[in-house]
Amino acid sequence: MIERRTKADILFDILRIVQQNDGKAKTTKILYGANLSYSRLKQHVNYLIENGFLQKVQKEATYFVITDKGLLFINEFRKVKRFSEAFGISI
Amino acid sequence: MAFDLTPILQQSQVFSLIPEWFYLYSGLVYLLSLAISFLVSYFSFRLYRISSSRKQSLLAVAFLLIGIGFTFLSAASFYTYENSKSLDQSAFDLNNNAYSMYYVLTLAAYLFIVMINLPKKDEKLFLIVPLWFINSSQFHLTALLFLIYISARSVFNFFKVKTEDAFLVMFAFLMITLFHVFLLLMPFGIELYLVAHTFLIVGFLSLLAMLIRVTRK
Repeated sequence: MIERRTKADILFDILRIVQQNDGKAKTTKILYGANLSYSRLKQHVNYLIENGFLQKVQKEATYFVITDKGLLFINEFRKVKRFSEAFGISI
Repeated sequence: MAFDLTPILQQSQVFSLIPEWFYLYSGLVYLLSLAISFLVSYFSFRLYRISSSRKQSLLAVAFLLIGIGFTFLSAASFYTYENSKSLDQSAFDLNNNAYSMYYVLTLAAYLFIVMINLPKKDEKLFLIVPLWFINSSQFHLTALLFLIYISARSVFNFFKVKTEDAFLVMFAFLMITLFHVFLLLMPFGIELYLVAHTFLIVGFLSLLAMLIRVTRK
């Protein structure tokens, strides 16, 4: 059975995609990578921007840059996943 | 707080059976175990703040309770060791109260860990389990029932995820299970008290190893 992703899982996926793309990514890249609808993506990206995990940059094109806080979240969330997995806890 | 006199008599019999230095050994084992329990609890609580997972918070509370339980036992063991030449009724009372607190806190903690592993619909079933035990055999038997379930789940989890971290958690719970088994078998040989505590510390060191692996960058 495929487990439903939690909000924290989705936020982690979005940040990870941006990080793996040299720390910046356009909406389309995140959209396909995170497997989300446009409206859901917009909602989560807004949350990440409001909380300082992502930064919106508008030049010729609009893209998103991961902040230090975002990188810290990725690091901490990996620990959460590893620790939870060791105890058999689904988060 | 008033308690039944029977366990005090049992405790005094135990005092005469166990050599003094065993108390120093068990005190040190409890001290190390409580430090590791508090570390696991702290880390679990930190992760709960990131994930907001209810199960993570239950794990934090469980290890906090285990740590507090060991604090009582550690204090009682060191007190007994320090005053082993002139043990009086106050030492029996102290040990009796410390063990009673440890029984309740530890069983509550194991219950929380069982609940983490249960489907949500079955969680309330375990709220009817009594936690107050005066008799140590009753306590170890009940603890054993909880730990057999917890260990079985951790074995199942290890074979599912096959990571070293999951192995260390599984190993830790198996060692803690053996700790209770050997304390139950203590009437067959006082040296089993030492063996039991060795299993306990090996189990907690395994949890510490897992924690170090997970937290290092």
